[in-house]
Amino acid sequence: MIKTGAEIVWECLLREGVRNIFGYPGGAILPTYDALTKYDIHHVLVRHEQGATHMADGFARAGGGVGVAIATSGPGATNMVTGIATAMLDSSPIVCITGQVGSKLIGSDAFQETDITGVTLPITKHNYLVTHAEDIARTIREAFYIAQSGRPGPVLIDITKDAQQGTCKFDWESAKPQLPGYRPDLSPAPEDYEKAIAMIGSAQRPVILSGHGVILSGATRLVKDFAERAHIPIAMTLLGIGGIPASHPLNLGMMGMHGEAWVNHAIQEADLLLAFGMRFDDRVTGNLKTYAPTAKKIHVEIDPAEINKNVRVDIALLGDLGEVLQELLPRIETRDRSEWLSHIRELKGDSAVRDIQNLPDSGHLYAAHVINDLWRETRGRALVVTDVGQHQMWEAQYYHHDQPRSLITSGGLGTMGFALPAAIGAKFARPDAEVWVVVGDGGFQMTMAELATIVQEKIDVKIAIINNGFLGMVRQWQEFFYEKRYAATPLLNPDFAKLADAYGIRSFTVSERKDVISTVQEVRQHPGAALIDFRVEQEDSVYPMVPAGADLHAMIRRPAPIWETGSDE
Amino acid sequence: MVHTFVVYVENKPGVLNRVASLFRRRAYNIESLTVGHTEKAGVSRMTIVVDTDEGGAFRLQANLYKLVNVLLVEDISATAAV
Repeated sequence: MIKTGAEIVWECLLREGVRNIFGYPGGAILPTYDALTKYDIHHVLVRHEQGATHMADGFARAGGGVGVAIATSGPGATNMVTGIATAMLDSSPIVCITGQVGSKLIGSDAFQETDITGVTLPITKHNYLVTHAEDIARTIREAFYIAQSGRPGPVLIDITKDAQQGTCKFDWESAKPQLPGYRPDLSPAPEDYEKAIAMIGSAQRPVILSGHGVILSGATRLVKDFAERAHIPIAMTLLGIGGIPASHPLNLGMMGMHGEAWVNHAIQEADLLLAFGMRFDDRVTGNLKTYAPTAKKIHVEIDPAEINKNVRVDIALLGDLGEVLQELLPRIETRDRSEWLSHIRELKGDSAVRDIQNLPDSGHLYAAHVINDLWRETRGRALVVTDVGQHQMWEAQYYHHDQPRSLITSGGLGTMGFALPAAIGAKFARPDAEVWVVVGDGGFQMTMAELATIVQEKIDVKIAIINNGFLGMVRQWQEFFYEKRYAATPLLNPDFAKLADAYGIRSFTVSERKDVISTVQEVRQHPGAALIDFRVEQEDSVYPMVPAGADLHAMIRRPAPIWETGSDE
Repeated sequence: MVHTFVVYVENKPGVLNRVASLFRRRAYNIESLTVGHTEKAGVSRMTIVVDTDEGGAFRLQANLYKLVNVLLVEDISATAAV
């Protein structure tokens, strides 16, 4: 069957199961867009190519499979860079397709020519420059395979205009991937299993560190069974949230810089850490020299380059977490660890009582209240997409996720502007989910152009802006570490409700605690997109906090509640 | 300690750049690098000398394997020369 390169792109995407694609047209990708009219693939027109990559990312993380973004050459392609790096750092499987100038013009600084394979080299799992129609089918098959196998990640395919326009015989079957150097399937040595089982058996104070890999591997059930069988408490990374139900009695909560004190203390006092699909990021370890000093470490990880990168481990079990746990689970002995568990309960002590959530209504609206009320009203069943900063940490602390893939957030790269477009992608992956965007006033303004995409696509996404008039997390650092010199953190914002009105999106402004629940209820009943501008305390901070590079147990704790100090400051 | 790696790669445009870029990205300084054909069609051999400790050498090898076009990596530092 003779086809143009452009037609082959869509033929292949259909065969890879793609039904939705996020993109923005332009000169060098026009032949491919022209061919789209013949295929049953829904194209979502974004307002900025960065949005397309975050949408593809959100689509993938919500469980939709590989997310696909498409853009033109030059600025179209470079606008994708932040979204690609975001997907790279959080191991999200996306494929980005970019148009490129004609192959004869490459290297000539032609109009809208950028060396995008060069630019994205360190932020893709792999990338391709395709200059012949004949190579398109095999390349797309390889890209999808690479993106979702092993440790997932982004793959970019740059296709020259003449390759899109050229014709050739299209034969899907014979266009098989040829990847002699790519070996994503690993499995641990039998003796390493034996050593790990013995180490787990003799541990008195073990802690499981549950990361994103638990969710990516689909091993949530196995980790829960493992923990229950061996009576081992679980601490989660930010991206591990949802992997184990928050309501599970063995789940301690989030670890790290803004983890609760008892979680970090448990890690520091542990005699064994079981790192499941996590990579000892600096935000979870703090000072490496004093990190979990008495603990042996077992690292179950699919990426060999993560072993001994930050923390030296005693045993590395390389492979897919689900497969490794399937092997380990029946060989782990049930052990009573009630002493260790009750010690952690003591560490927890009255922390819950000191929590801001228990403050009486003093007329202040705290972000934590808003998020906790949102959790209660949605019964914890919403798919929440957060941006980056204080609201992201408060969401992680006060919205209790019981389901995997119910929190989508930019962890590794910390990309402001991620939430709104990622939520759009998530909604396409799971149309029946109740999708909430929780976003700061700073990050919202980075990608708010995608409000138009929401309206054009008529999708139902609810937006909660946690508006404190500051770049809040940076302000917090300035308060703690720079003597409150607020350089460039105060924000003069537009009226977000009016802005939403201009797009035809239902909007509300809330500045008192008593109005939070009723407004959330009204928004949930509204059959379509809606936005709430929550005007919260301006100079509130996220506690506890381990300052960057400090010891994990050296936390800045929550100040005593108002009724204990008698002051309102 | 000086480590010598022999890296077999697919002979495709841009592969040298991918390998060299990895050394830069992970902050390794290349002492010397040579590339040439092997007896096998489509396979090139790179010999790369780099000054790093054992942990660094191990991570470098793991990262080289993450490059899709890399076929085989050998750390021949401890092997006697011909």
